[in-house]
Amino acid sequence: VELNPRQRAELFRLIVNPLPPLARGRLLLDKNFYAQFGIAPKSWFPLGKEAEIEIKTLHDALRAAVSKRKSATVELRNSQRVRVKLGLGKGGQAIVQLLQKKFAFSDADLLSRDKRTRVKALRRVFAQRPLDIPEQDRWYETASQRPLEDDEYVTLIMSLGATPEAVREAFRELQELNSEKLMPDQPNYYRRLVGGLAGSSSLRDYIKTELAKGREALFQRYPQQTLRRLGFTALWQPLIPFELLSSLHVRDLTPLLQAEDPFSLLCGFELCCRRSGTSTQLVEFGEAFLRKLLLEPKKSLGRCNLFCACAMITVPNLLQAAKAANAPLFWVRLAGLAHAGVLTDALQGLQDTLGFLRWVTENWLANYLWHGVVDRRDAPRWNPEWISPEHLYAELVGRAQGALHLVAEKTRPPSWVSAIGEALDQLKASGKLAAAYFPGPFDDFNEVTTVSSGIPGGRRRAREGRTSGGCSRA
Amino acid sequence: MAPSLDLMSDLSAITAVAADDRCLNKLPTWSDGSGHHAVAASTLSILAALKGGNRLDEEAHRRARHKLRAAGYIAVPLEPDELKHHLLAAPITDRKVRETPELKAVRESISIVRINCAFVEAEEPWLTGVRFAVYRALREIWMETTDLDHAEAQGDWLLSILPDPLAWCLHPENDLVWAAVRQQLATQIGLMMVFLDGPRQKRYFAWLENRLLARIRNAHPGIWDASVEFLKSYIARLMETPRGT
Repeated sequence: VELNPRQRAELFRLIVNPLPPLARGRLLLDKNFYAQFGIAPKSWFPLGKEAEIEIKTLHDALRAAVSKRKSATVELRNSQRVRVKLGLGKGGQAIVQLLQKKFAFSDADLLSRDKRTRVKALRRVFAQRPLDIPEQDRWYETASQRPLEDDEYVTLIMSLGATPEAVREAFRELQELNSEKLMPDQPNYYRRLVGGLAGSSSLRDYIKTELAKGREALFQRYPQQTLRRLGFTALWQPLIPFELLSSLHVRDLTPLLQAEDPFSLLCGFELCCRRSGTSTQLVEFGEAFLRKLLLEPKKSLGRCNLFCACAMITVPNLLQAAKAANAPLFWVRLAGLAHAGVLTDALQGLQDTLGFLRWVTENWLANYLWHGVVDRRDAPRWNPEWISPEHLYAELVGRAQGALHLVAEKTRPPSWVSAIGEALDQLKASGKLAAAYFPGPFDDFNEVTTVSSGIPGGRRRAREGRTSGGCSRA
Repeated sequence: MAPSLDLMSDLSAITAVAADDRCLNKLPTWSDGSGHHAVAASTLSILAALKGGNRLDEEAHRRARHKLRAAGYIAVPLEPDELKHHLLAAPITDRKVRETPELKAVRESISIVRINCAFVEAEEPWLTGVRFAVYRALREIWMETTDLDHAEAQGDWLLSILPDPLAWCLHPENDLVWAAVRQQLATQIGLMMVFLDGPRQKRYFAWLENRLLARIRNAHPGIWDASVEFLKSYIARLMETPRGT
């Protein structure tokens, strides 16, 4: 039986409309799928509580606003067509006025029909929220050939939203938090944050290949933004690309000094330690990093509270959010902890960090620990229980001290030495000094050749028993 | 085993052999050294033959199968109508199905195979049949019921016995086999997302989302993606042949 177009549309509506939103959305976002049935689905964008505008007419209105037109016609949910007033703000912002209310749309100039305007818009948005270079190049190519279509514009806006910069901005606004909200469900976000996996089976290989390649390309075009992203991934000293960053001037480290997550601040200090010379600026920067990281009353520990709380949520939920069921543990840990850093930075406005930590501990600690039990098969040295603020603080002190020891003793700035001494005194007083020298979350992935000939039989058997357990990552 | 071997040594005067030993009835025929063949059957085949020859009515056939299940007989087939019949006969209290002895036997008859690690590859068709019966019963109950609260309770019970292909996989270490069972699960979920009965659609999909889809999306995002892809291809086929529904 051959269906006529009307029957097809009716059957399609009958099957697809009642589906749960997440299933229906997937079908209606696949242009190739619905186009084969000659169907053009409509979707609606809510403007306040009063009205919903059909997306295509909204985009046309935005295009008109970018072209400096004063009004446009849009279609409302009830099929009514109404005239809206238009305006143009700074930075490509379009303003739509409906029912006496104004609604601002950022980056609307990406929809411009004028090639120069939209390429300029692309340059602006990529400078603020860089995508991978090959991805950016594809957008430049499209934008230089023709205006973006509606679905391309939506895809681009969603991609820009799945960057560390956008996620950080989104969480800076006070809002009700839960584990689902805290985990962006776009796998590309995690790829942009820590690099994608392309086959490396060890962390060292990953650093040398996938991570290095992506970072170099991004750094050449956006050194400041790349440096800021690198701060989130400075979770282990070998993860910091000192050579790549050697071209930066000391003052270029300012974005790291403005950071509110502990590992970005530590990254700043480690970069200072690798600089030659003892210029006043270098010494001041190094001291500023140390003081902010370790010695600010309440705030230093507050950052550790936030980081640990976020990590308890991000690490166990990472596989699911990043849709990376087969990812190796080092990548999961890297992405989970780096995202915890992004959240820590974003949630800087949160005053009661200890309360937040308590709330997370009550709700997610058990889940986090169960995940950690499985992880210990692959990484037995680092204990997931060490995600406490005290252990994290001790690790930061230990790493800062290790970085300082790389500076020749004669040239060590006294202010750095005394700052670390002060932090060590605090650790001693709290009885956590030894924790400064415990393994970190990535020390298990450090490939050091072990000498096994001297291991007595009993101990060797015990070790084998531990590494051949029945647990596996689901 | 020895008497069986004695029987097998000379099948010259034998047309059919009935044995409820899964080792002995796994092939369709027995053959002896002289080239004589006899049809291999089981109690299930006899019941089917009696029913086919109108020597056993539907009710007596169901009772006999129930007895076999209750006695722990492995891999008793499950028919959609039979499952629906037992389920509709069960009372519902507090939005839950109160299991009758027949439903209990159905549930235990499925799980006993897995619990005792007695599932073998040759019984894949049986497992597929069970999955199909549960799927059909679920679908028909939702399409025919007049009480949607009851449909939810009955649907909950059916989902609770629906075999999960991942849990029944015999060789999870084999990537090809594992990929195949993942696809089976994706297809199972995709099929459940096709439900055309207008008035009940909203409630059915709310129930399905709550009981199954959200869990799959969270626990197995890859399988969820495959389910959506299956759904797309299924819809494309439906659009070509609307009578095929």
